This record gives sequence, C-alpha cells and structure tokens, in this order.
Amino acid sequence: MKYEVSEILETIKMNALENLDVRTVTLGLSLFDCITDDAVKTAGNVREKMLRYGSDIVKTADKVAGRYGVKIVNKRVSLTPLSLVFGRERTLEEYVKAADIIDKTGSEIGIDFIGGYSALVHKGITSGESAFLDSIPQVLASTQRLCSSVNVATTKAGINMDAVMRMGEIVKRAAELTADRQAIGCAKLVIFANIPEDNPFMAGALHGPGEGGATLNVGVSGPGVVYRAIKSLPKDADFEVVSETVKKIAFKITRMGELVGREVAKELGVSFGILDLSLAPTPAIGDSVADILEAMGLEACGTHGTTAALALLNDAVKKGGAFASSYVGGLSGAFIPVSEDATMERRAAEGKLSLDKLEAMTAVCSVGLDMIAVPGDTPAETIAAIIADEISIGVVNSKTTAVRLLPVPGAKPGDEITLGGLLGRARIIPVHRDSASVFVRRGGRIPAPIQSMKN
Amino acid sequence: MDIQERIEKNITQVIMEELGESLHPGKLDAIIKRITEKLTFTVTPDELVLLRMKMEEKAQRELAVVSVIGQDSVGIVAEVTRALAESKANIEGMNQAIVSGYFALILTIDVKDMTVTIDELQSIMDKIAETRNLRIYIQHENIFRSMNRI
Repeated sequence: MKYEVSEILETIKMNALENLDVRTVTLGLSLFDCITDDAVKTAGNVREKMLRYGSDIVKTADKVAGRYGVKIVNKRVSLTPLSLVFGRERTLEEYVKAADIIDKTGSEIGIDFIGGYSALVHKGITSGESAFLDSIPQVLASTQRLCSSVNVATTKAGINMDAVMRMGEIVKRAAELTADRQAIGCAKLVIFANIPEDNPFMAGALHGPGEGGATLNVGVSGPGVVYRAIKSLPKDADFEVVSETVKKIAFKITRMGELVGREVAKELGVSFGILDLSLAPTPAIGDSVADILEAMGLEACGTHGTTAALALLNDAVKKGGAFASSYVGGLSGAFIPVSEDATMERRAAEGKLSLDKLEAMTAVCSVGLDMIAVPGDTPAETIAAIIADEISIGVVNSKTTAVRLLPVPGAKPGDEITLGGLLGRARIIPVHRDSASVFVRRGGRIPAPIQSMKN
Repeated sequence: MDIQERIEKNITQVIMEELGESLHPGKLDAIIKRITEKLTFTVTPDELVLLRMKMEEKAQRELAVVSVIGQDSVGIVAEVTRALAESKANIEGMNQAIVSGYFALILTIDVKDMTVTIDELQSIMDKIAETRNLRIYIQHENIFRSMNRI
C-alpha cells in the first residue's frame, strides 16, 4: 500500500465529517475587450464572454469534485471592475439595465455570485465613477447575484475620505432599497482598503486591471478541521504545539485546494491564478472560527485574549499554507464574518463580542468588520466613521481590511434577522451613539502613512 | 561494467533461464556474440531510451483509493471486489482493519483500463453501501499524494 490507512481515513474524515471543502472556484475574466461606447452593448459583450469561458464551470467543478471526493461549494465569476469598463458617466437606467444583463447571465451558467460591480477610488473619484457609485444601491436591489466592492484607500495613497463619506450614504441607501429583504443589498457590498486584485471570495471578488485574460482562483476553507484538531489537544499543550497543529492542517487543506483548483483550471482551459488560504466559516455547526478560538481556551469568543488567539491562528494558517502553494494570494487569513459564523453570531447576540472587539480582531486577521447587522437608525456619518476606523487599520498595517455592515431599517439592538444560506443570521449589535459627523465631513484625503515610503 | 558486458550478461541470463543446461556452452557464446553485434548495429542509443520510455508508459497505472467504512457483515469484501472485477478495475493493494469498532476496508485500484468512469463506479458502490449500511468513497490517488506527501 502506498498510503497508510490512517492517512486515508484522515482525509475522508476531513471531507465527510469536518466540513472541509473547496469554498469557491472563481473564474476571473478581463473585460477590457468588451468595451463599447454603449453600456448596454458592453454588457452584451460581457455576457458573451461569460458564456464563452464560464458555461462549463459548474459541470467541470462537479466532475473534478467527484474525482477526488471533495465538495466544491461555490462556483463564481469575477470581473474587471465595471466602473472601468463602463468608463464615462451613464444614466441610472443604463447602469441598471447593463447590470441586469450580467446578473441574468450568471443565473444562466448556474453560478451563485458574480463579483465586480466595483470601483477603485482610493485617490480620487472621476465623474464616471461618481455616477457609478450612485448606481450601486439600485443595482444591488434589482439584481440577485451581482456583488459590489469599492476600494477607498491604499497604504500608498492614503484614505479618500470623500469616498468614505459617500460609502456611508451608499450603504444606508442600499439598506433602504432592500428593507423588505433584511437589507440584503448590503450583504453584497464591501468597502475596502488595499483591495486584492485576485480575491476569489465574495462579495469582494474582482478581476484586477493587472490580471490576465481568464484566470481561475481558488478559495479553500476548513475551520471545522482546525477546530477538531485543537479540541483534541490536551489543555496544557503549549503554544508551539497549538501552532504546529494548525500549520500542518493548513498545509493539507492548501494542497487539496491547489490540486482541485489546478485541475479545474486545466479542464476549463484557463490559467491557474492563486490560492486564497482563508479559514472561511459557514453557519454549519462545527464550521466556526470562533469555535477554534474557544477551543484554544477562551470561555467565549470576544473576551480578553481573543485577539492574541486569532493572531496565532492567522499566522499559523499562513505559514502552513505558504509552504503548500506556490501562488498564494487574495485575502489569505482567517475570516470573521459575524452572521456566517454560528458561534460568533451567538457571542455577539449574548453581548460578549462587541463591535469594538471585532475591530481590534481585524488588525490581526483578514478581512474586516464583516456581516455585522447594526441598528437601522445608525446615521450615514456613523457608518462612514466605522469604515474610516477599519480602513485606517488596513492602511497603517499595509494589509487588506474591509467593511460589510447591514444597517437594517427599523431594526433595534437585540433584534434578529435571517439572511439564509451561507449568509446565516444575525442579531443587531449596538454602535456608539456619539456623533463623528464633523470629522467624517471634513472631506479630502488622509495622507498616506510614513510606512508607505519604502522606495 | 560497460554496456557490452551488461548486454551480454542479460542475454546470457535469459537464455540460461529459458534453455538451461541443454545448450552447448560453445553454441551459447556464439549466440550471445551474434545478438550483441546485431543489437549494436541496428539499435541506436536514442532508440533504446525511447523504447524504455514507451515500456514505462505502458506500465504506468492510474490509481484510485476505494474506502469502505461502516458496520461489519458477512461478504462485504466479496461484494465490493466482485463489482470492481466486473468494471475491470485491478486491485493493486488491500488493507482491512477495525477502526474504533467500525469495519474499514481500503483498496487501491488501477482505474486505467476500467470500463466505467470513477463517477459511475461510485454510483455502483453507492448501491452496495446503501443495502449494507456502509459508506464507500472512491477518490483519485492524487488527493492523498498532495495532502500527505511533499
């Protein structure tokens, strides 16, 4: 026998019992060859390109998944930021019509999300981008699968506070336009600092302008596997043992993802881009990042020590994964999306995991304040201030951070909303009531930090 | 040992095994000399390398792992291996154990000349699994290689 029985059983256990899966295979498509002067016609070209490259993505992914006995949960497409593709200013009707064509194409090829209704405005906003930003709430309300991301800062450029304030208003508007659906529009909208150009995870996936024609990026998962391994360690196992345990598992998870990703890319006839080694939780029991932190010895995720535990976890995942894959990219770190992580959601509902603690945690992991439901009467200025805080953590630490907040109209702290599927459910958590209005309305750009001067 | 010596030694070995003592030693030497000469003049070194590659390619297998896990009962091995034989999947290795009270049978099979696809074999196994209260997984070898070997 070439393999030990224990090795084979371990792999089966990870796949069958511990929710190890390939979270997403995301086909990135460059749209620069789709551009025409007419936005709707351009969308028609985008549709053709999606059909040409993406028609077989579901079938191919299922075939490869069958061969290896692993699940590939999501099949997705990411696009060149559409604000660049549409170029100049268009009418709201044009944006909505074009978005609708692209959204319907996604449903035709059987994918669950399309990323790329995006704009990169970290240093300034063109008139085309300004009109595009205004269209985001309506587009998110009228489409099912299309996701939006906006980069408002980079370590090199600083923070575009005009864009931050605009995004505070856009998040509010997106919530209002989908008030009848628990503010679902906001679940498809992420505001970034240092956005990666090859992230396969939604809602922030896009195919950056520096990318090639068609590329397959892969996102793995596996909090359940890490949790069970940590849980089985003795209570007095020291941090070297904990870290080594996580590293070894991260290695295996990454190798599996890379194998599957490369094979899907090969069968689709596109190049393999990157592997995003993120621990992405799902609402399924036992597939939680918060569970891992608690298994390390915290009574509840959110208490003192949580940030240190998360830092250790995030670092060990990267070290194990970096050795296993030649091309690591995307977000690559532990995710802490509150509504999508059953234990995190419970701790937030119990009041043990506050917004402030979540913010601190994002300094040591990817990606940011993610899938957090806040009261419906939270002013746009406060949302902008939350964005500014989070974004500054990314800018100063030369890392990606992001914000995905749901100010659910009419909802008060303690109320519960259900988003369904992978998005899970969430209890509304309180925000500070003191105003930051004067601060966020100053306008202009917060200069790039001194650590950006590396040349 | 130079190339001529190696060829001669190998040919001698084969002839001795096939014909044994019945051959006159003088005749044996003459045959070996002539074969060696013929080979030297008719086969170039490049062709030898190509021949070797072709032979290896032919012998190459494509392995998958069949894991049968669950409640022990009479005839599991027989039923699973019969299905494999019917699909022309050659069994390359077999290992059976009781893991935490459960029956675990792990087979390595060569799927190269199989008459069905891995997917189809999986559905055949699913039927057996259902009637016998088992779980049967078929996975291409590469997943174990990538996760457990550097």
